[in-house]
Amino acid sequence: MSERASGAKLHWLRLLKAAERLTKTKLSEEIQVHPWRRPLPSEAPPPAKPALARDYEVGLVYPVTDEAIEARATCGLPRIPPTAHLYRESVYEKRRLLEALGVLKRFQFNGVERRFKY
Amino acid sequence: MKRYGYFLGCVMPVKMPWAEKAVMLVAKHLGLHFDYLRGTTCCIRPGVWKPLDYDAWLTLTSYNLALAEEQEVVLVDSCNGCWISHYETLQELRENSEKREMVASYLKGVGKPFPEHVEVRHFLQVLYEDVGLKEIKKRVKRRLNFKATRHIGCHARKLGDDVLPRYFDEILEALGVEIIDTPYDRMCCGLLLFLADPERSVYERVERKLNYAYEQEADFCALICSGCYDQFDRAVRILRREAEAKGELPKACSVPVVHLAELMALAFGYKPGDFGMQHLRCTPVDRLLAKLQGC
Repeated sequence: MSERASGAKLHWLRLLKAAERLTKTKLSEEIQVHPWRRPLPSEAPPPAKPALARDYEVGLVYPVTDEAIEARATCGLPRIPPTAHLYRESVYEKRRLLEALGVLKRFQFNGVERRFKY
Repeated sequence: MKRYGYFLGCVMPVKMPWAEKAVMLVAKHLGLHFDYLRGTTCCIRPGVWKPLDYDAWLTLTSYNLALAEEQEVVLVDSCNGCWISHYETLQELRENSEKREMVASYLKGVGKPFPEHVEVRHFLQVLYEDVGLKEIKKRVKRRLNFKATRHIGCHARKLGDDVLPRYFDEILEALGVEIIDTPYDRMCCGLLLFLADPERSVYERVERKLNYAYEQEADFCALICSGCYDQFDRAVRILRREAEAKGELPKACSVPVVHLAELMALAFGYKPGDFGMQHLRCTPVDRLLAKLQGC
């Protein structure tokens, strides 16, 4: 084994030992002493939350603002796009799918209050 | 004759109404049986949903495919992000019987059919393969003597450089646009990294791309993907805001970002006002339109 390879092996062994030391601490016991170390149950990354909430709210990433409605009319388009913005039943069906898939529970999203618990 | 259902996605209807109108005008002008796919939800964006919950991504994307099945149309995407989501979902449903059953059961729960017969096409495929370059050229009334850089977007390379990126270039050239190659042609718009680091993932990239376009005296930067446009729009607005505080306008803020359908509409003889080209833009197109008078 070359000197470099043996150095790398040693490095990984040290890391492994450090990891073993860490995993000896049981999280369930640790959080009795340090409650703030309790992992949060939401798996939704914080920056993605506003978009996920809008997914639930309007079925799409962006709502149709007054500015967009005006611009659409000026461009000769229907004021409200023929997406879920217009066809609200699509939003309700999407919500039912999100519920059935267990996504709301997993991300701790409260559909009534329209917010994430964590 | 094929009936097409245009999938609007999230960005186009609220940030790019001029592109939406131009797509509808161009499709009609080319004699396509082309209408909106009605009632659509988010595509659903693969960059966020696929890693968060694969089955949810597959099912929610299939919901849009089910709408196309119900409305008996070929689903057409011009946003690369929407297209890749629909394309990959359809592949998965065809190859994986377990996932197919799972999706069918969820869709049944909301009264939607399983998308058994659906076809998904990129708008570039419709233009290039279904209509053809010859037909497009035939309809060009006014050659656009512009110089432009272009941003094709990563997902458009899914089928290789010889398919969608080539279609895009050849259509641009058929309209008379001179394409300027840049060192940043393969650089992602940054959308997928936006949640991690907006500064480096989006603003810096867009600034580099548009600065280069400015230095090369490009009249605009052409694109087709709404997801990518969203990043350009976001970045340019922020760069402008920052620059205004310093009292100087960055070069990147003077190169407009233009959708392929707008260029086609102009080349086919439509006026900018026919599709509201000047409204709701991150960068004004006035200089471009002034030059258009001379074309």
